[in-house]
Parts: sequence; structure tokens; C-alpha cells
Amino acid sequence: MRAPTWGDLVAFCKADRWDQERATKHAIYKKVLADGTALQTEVSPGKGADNIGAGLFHFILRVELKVSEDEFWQAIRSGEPASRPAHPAPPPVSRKPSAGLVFQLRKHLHLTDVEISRLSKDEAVEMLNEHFSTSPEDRRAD
Amino acid sequence: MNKRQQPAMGYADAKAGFSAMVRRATQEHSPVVIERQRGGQEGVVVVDRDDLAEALREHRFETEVFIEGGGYSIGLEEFGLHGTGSTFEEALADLLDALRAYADDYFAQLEFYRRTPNRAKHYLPLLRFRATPADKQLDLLLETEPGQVAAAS
Repeated sequence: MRAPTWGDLVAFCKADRWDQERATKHAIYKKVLADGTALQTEVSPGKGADNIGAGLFHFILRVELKVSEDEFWQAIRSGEPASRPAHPAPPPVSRKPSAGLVFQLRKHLHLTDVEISRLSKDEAVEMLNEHFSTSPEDRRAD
Repeated sequence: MNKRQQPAMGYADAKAGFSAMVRRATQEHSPVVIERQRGGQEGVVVVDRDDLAEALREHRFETEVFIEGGGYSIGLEEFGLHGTGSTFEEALADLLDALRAYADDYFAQLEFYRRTPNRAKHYLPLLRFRATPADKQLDLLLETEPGQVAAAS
């Protein structure tokens, strides 16, 4: 399956009959499901980046659109709303570090983006706790 | 001891004694109730901002950072929001903008959001966010869970 783009997200919102509420910095789309669940997503392409990264794409599917990847592409192909039989149970995912953890990994461990991008949240917590459990002298000796 | 509860103030008294009322809320840390109509059909509560922030501190903003494709994305799962940017700081600022816009929308359409099964619970965290000075709101997105990291600020 090809890499998703922000244009695909717009196409999905149109096929799935979302309302474009307003366009400020980014376009915001909203939809209310039959049970009253209020969904919201934002088309927020970065500079010169039309593709949506895999991690963010699955976040958008699971949290913002509440559809599976198959349902996403099927809606675009058919131009019809996603079947969304039930809100799909979130697939098991290894959570990525929070912004607070990333801030500390950069500040205290001086990790690069590539190194941080490979860490799960649990690994980030473990690395930081290991770092802070050693004395400043030991850290300097390393 | 049977100390009588502070009675609610009327709007006219609150206006006339505005400074004293604010002092009571901020320096004496005593919430002030102001009622307009007989029977207390409409009212507001004046609370010290730091007291409110302390009371709401358990309502946190748990983020998730994705570094991919030469850029950053930060998701805020509880609220169904995300921000993007070519740097970490840019993505944080983008998410902060999204959260501010959502908070504005939420309080403007509170009756609608109160009826939604997935967003009614956002009232207290968004109250915490709204009550936080604008230049401190970014810090809310950088909090770590209590006890998660030994030396976290």
C-alpha cells in the first residue's frame, strides 16, 4: 500500500462526509457519529512534506478517524462513507515517548533525532531513570 | 464548631467591593460565590488561579512524539489532536495552537460537547489549560507523569 498523503486525508474526509468547520492555520474537519462521538482531524502538512509519516498516520486512524487502515483506503476508492461497524479497538502499539520525555532526552542525554525516533516510551523512561540514578561524577567519567 | 458558611454575594455588592472580593479569593484563598437572581439561578465563583491550578493538576496532557520523514509530529491522544513541524519546537507550537483553538471551540459550544460521550470529560483539563497563563501553557505539554522520571522537573 502506498504512503498516505495529506491529500488522501482530505479525500477520506470528503468520502466519509466530514464537515470542514473552518480554515485557520490548517483545515479542520469534524464528524459526529451516530452514538454522539465527536471526531475531529486536522490537515496539517509540514513544509514541503505531503506524505504523512507512518506513526502519525496510525495515530490519526486510531484516535482521530476511528477507522482501520483498510476502511480508510476503501472509503477513498469508493467515495462512500466508511462502514465503521464499531469503533475499532485500538491495535496494540508500542507508545512513543511524550514531549516531556523527548525534551529531557535531548537536554540531558543529548540523543539525536534518529536515536530518539527508535525509542518506545518505556525505553525512554528507562534510559532517563538510569541516567539520573548515576551520580554526576560517574556521568562525567563515562 | 458550627461556623456559618460565607453567604453568596449579589452582583451589585461584588461590583462595589471588587477589590475586597478579589483579595478574599487570592489572599485568603476563600472562593467567593456571586449570585445574580433570587434563588441563585445564575452564579459565578471567583477562585485564586494558583489554587485552581493546584486543584486541577491531575488533569494532564499526555503527548506522543513521532520523529519520521525528516519532521516531528506530536499527538495528544486524549483530545484527538496533533501538531506537526520540521523541528520539535515547531511541532510543539503547532500542537499548542491546535489545543488553544480546541479549547476556544469547546467553551464556545459547551452544551454540544457536554453531550458527547468522548469529549464531555475534557472540561476539567481544558479548564486547567485555560486558567494557565499563556506563556506557561507550553509547559503543560512538557509535563511527565508523576514519578515517571526520577529527576523530572
